[in-house]
Amino acid sequence: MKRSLLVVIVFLLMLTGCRTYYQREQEFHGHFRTGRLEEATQALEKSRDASRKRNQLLHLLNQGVVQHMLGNYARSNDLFEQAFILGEDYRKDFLNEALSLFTNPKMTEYRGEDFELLMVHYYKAMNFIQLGDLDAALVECRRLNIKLAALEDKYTSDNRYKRDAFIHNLMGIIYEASGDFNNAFIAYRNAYEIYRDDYSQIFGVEAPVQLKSDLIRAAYRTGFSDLGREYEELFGMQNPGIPAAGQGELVFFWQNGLGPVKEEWSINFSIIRGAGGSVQFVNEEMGLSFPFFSGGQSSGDIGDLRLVRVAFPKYAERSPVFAGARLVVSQQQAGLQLAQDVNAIAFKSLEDRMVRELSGALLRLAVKQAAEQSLRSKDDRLGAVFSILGAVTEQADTRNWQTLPHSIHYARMMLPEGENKLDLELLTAAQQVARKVPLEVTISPGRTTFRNFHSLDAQPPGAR
Amino acid sequence: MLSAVVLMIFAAGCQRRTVSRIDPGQAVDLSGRWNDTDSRLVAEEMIRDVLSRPWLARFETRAGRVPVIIVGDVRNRSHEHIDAETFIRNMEREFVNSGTVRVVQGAEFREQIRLERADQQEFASPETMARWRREIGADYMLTGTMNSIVDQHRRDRIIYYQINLELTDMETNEKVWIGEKQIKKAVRN
Repeated sequence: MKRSLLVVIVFLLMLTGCRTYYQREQEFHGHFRTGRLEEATQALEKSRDASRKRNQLLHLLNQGVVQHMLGNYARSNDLFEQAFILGEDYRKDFLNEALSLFTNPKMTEYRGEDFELLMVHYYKAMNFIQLGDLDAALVECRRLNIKLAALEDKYTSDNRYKRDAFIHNLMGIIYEASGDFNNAFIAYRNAYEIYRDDYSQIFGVEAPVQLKSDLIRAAYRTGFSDLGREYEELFGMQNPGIPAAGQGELVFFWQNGLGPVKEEWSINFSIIRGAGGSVQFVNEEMGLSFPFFSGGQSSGDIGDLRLVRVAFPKYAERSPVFAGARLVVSQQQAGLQLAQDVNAIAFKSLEDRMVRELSGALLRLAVKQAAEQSLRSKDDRLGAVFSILGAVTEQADTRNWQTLPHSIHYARMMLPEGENKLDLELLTAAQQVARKVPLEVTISPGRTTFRNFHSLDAQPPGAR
Repeated sequence: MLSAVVLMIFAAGCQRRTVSRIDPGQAVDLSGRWNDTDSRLVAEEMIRDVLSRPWLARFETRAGRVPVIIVGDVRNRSHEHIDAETFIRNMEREFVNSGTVRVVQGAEFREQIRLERADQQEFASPETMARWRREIGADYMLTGTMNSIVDQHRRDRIIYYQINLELTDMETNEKVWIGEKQIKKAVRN
């Protein structure tokens, strides 16, 4: 009996490490942050943690990003496609879910945040565009449309992240590049309405000026001149028109910095016993209260407890080094406009489901404590061992997709056909040029060329 | 507690993905958005309407032959990405199969066919070669718009779609037929 318990204890200890996911993947992140991408993929390949089935989604996402940045677009898309299928086919593994009740939620398969699963298609679309396959990029748009509809239906309450303006905007840009102006118009209009109604209130991100002018142009190109005029008046802007003969367009996405990582913190709950075996976990400071029913047995139930500590994940921002950027080409320049604040969306997503996560964490705690009590009633020493074990294994799930940018900015420019030399100027908060990135872009007349650039410079987690 | 765990493990066995095939004619409403049933209802309504109206008989008595129609753009002004193709193709099929109307290829594919014909001029044997300037000009053009209005309050949503199709005389710009189909759905989340 004792021996088998010892085996269980050792087994449980092996399952847990005290470090966060970010710390466990330190080698990879060290290479990635500094742009040593080849070394980063190697670190990822040999990382044992990354090869586990429950972390497979994150492994694919990280590898996908690195391969994308290395310019291996087809390979990157293979990985992202696997990640997409994994995200689609995700079903709860109840054995792991049950195991996680005794240990911690890191035991479960990582399923991805809503916004992370959407971002898969951003990278896929970019890859397909770089491979010259606009039809495949449109397939990603249609998949996005299905995903966005599902996201909107998933939550009934307002004032939460359930509509993604950037993704609608991206769809519009791709539709317009493919010559489908009608769908482009619809996507732009949806994007504009979400920026106006959701993003400005929740994240403080206003509709980009570029989007407004794209919306006007798409209305006219579809033949909706009444709507075009309406929007011209509303925005106080003119139809920007289409590229002149011998000109083409460049759509440039700048991915700034790195998104947040997850850290752990704990919340203390006091337990208030009610009638008929019901208990409440209460934290008055934060105004939280969770009722549980504990069955009402005299021993071995959670009613015997007074105070508990719950481990919970929180995001730590990695502040970007650059405050803005602009594209400069001989005579003209274009400021890159904020279109997606990945950092803010991450914080908001966790906040939105904080209550649900907390009640899961408390259930986990209740199960552990009940087991401890029941052991203690038979053998005091065993109970004590289990208690220590419970404290050691009480950990939050600190996994998230950590190679995403902090934010995404974009610009559209009309350029003469042929080779164009541009500078991407990365700016400090005081609008000083901190770094210049030379770019070469080949423009075909009447066509849209896409480029993206990820500047990885960021502060360490939590630093300002 | 142990029984709860055992239950969970059992439950894992029951959680299978199922796929079953259903009759495409069956109406299944899931999200309240535009779906195949809407598309089919629009096609049925429009076809029934357009082939039963006086413009057809009038043209036949005037011209002594069946009219030729080209299907132009159906523009989507709604809030959703709706594929109008599905019901446009249904309508074309009904036109052709009814035998009372002839249909010619629209602008998108016309170019492709001309390219192929140009190719034949060089590579096909003279007896099988398609000749130029034998295309049939259309008498009427079918165009349309799709509109939507969404009204939402808390968990309730009313989605209203209106599809308008018009048949216009190519020579006179006269509208000879106007079809309309409305679809209204109440969704409660």
